[in-house]
Amino acid sequence: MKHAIITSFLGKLRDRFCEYQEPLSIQQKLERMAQIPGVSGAEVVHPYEVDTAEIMLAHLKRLNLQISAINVNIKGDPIFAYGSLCSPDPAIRHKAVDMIKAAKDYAASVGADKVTCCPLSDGYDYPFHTDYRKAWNCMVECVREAADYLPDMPLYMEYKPSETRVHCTLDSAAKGLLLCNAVGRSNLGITLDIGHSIYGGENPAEALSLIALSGVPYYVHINDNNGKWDWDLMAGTCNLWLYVEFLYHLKELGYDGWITSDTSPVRQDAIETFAFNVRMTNRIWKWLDVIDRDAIRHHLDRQEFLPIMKLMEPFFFVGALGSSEEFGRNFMASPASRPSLETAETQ
Amino acid sequence: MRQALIVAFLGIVRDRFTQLGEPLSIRKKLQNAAQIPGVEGAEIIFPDECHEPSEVLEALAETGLVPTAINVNLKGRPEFQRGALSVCDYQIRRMAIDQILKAKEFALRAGAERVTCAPLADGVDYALQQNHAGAWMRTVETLRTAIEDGPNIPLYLEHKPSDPRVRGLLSSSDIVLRLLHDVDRPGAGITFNVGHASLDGLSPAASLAQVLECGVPLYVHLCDAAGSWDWDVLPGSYHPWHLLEFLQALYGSGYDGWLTSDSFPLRQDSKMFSAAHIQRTAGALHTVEVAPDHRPDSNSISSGKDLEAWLSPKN
Repeated sequence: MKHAIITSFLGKLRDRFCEYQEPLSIQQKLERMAQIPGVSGAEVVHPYEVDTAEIMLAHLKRLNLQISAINVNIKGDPIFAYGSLCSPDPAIRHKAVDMIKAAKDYAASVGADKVTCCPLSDGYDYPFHTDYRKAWNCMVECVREAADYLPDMPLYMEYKPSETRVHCTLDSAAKGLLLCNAVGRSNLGITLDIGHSIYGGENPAEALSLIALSGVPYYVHINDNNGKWDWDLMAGTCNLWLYVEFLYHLKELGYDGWITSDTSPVRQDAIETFAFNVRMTNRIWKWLDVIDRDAIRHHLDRQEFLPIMKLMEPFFFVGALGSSEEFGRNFMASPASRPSLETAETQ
Repeated sequence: MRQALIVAFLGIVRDRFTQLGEPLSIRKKLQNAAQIPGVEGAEIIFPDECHEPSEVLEALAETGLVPTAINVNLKGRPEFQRGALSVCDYQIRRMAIDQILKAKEFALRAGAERVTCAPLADGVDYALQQNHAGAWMRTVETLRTAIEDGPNIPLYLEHKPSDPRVRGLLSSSDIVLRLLHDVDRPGAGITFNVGHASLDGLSPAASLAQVLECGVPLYVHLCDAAGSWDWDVLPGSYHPWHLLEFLQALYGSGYDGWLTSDSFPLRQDSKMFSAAHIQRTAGALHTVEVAPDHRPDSNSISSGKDLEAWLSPKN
């Protein structure tokens, strides 16, 4: 398991009302990323963030980073405001597919092993806003054409329940798998974003299991939310047990790919935000090495969750582990990495 | 009841990923609003749309639109990103007070009856991020100063569960009512947003009942929500029965103020979209006004048949 960050979260961010942080070049973003302990990968947004392949490769080599994925943005151009892969306008669909092809070319030139795409402008806002079957077939045809281009470069499709549309077309893990089935190409994968899964009403571990069972390749984005919106909060800060369960299944599946932070540090220090994701994820990952996973499997087979919770409790609660000294020695971060109280006071 | 628009929505609108619409002057926005049949009033954002006060006043006079409210923006400035009314930093709270006072002064000049404020930057994103009791007390004190100082223009507070904070400080109309109770000053009211009160399928009429019981001054923003998010979609798009129930309760209360559109025309022609909002609301209002047997206290589901006329007028 390796940690990566979507580089766009290291620069200027915005929501509907406000703008946050400073605009940075891709070089500056990568340099910030290199300061975060444990991070070795960058997911870079194409075409808006990238430099030429030569310059990008030089940055990566100098900073000892790799590309986890090229993220092709087919929502930012105003022409895509009404849809990209599902647009009724063939010229717009063509432009979207061309952008995916260009992202594949770029991915190959910088040594990336995948392109990921989240078609967020495809969907609808109102009843009677779209012809669902036509829209779906447009998406299938576009994704097939994009998959067939440079077939050695896999295309991972990311699902999301909503935003920027009230309802996105590709809104669930099941829909992602249906898309893979309909397209019928082996070089298609799914990007599972934990936050999208949670606020879409899924259990991320269950969604992961469904995808893994299908044999479709998968790639992981981490964050968290309150179940109502894609807040892109730090991993495990709202739904810690769901995150532990997700990582358990990821470990059981033998996942050795990237875990990419899709976390939005709008009002806090970006480096500390991503450092938290890495620390928290690594800590849980280590717990899952230490814990008796045979016992967990045994109890899961019998649908006995209480004994599993009992196994997990010592990792969360000092009293359950024994002495606080032992807990501190084994699991607490070093004093230097403890969160500052300054944020809490100013907030 | 008369209808108005938040005219900012006639210009550029955006979300996290998309920006659409045309950058229009406040004069042009007011002119466009005045061309929409049924629009009699305009809500104007302060200070964003009031940098040229004389232009606003002239355009209001030219169009004949009534300034229903001056909407003071306490979220857009970088200083307010972590809150405005509730933050620990007194200087920032003072900036918020000053901004409200300036909005009140402008409202006085423009002849607006009120200043309305949705303090959307106040709230939290994470657990352990804030001393909630302290934030509440600071908000109370800040609002007392903002209400007592400056011109005698009432300040209305708007509720919203979230956005841009994961959990907004004034997350519900009930919390605003509690805040007004604690502030305990005349010259304050509630801006009741029907969309914000419709999230997760909640009944805005049920929330309105508490507002009416408390008797606080009331101003209404109208739109609809979808699911758990404030999509600001056209009224009744997702919850048509709740719209009728709300309007029926509002009509029954004797409210004769403004219904201001908070519908957000992303991906739509803003004038056509706003016209659709006005027309739909007018139709719904007419339905509840002429429904003879449906009284707020009737507790009769059969009387809802009268309201079906709105959804199926030809049947």
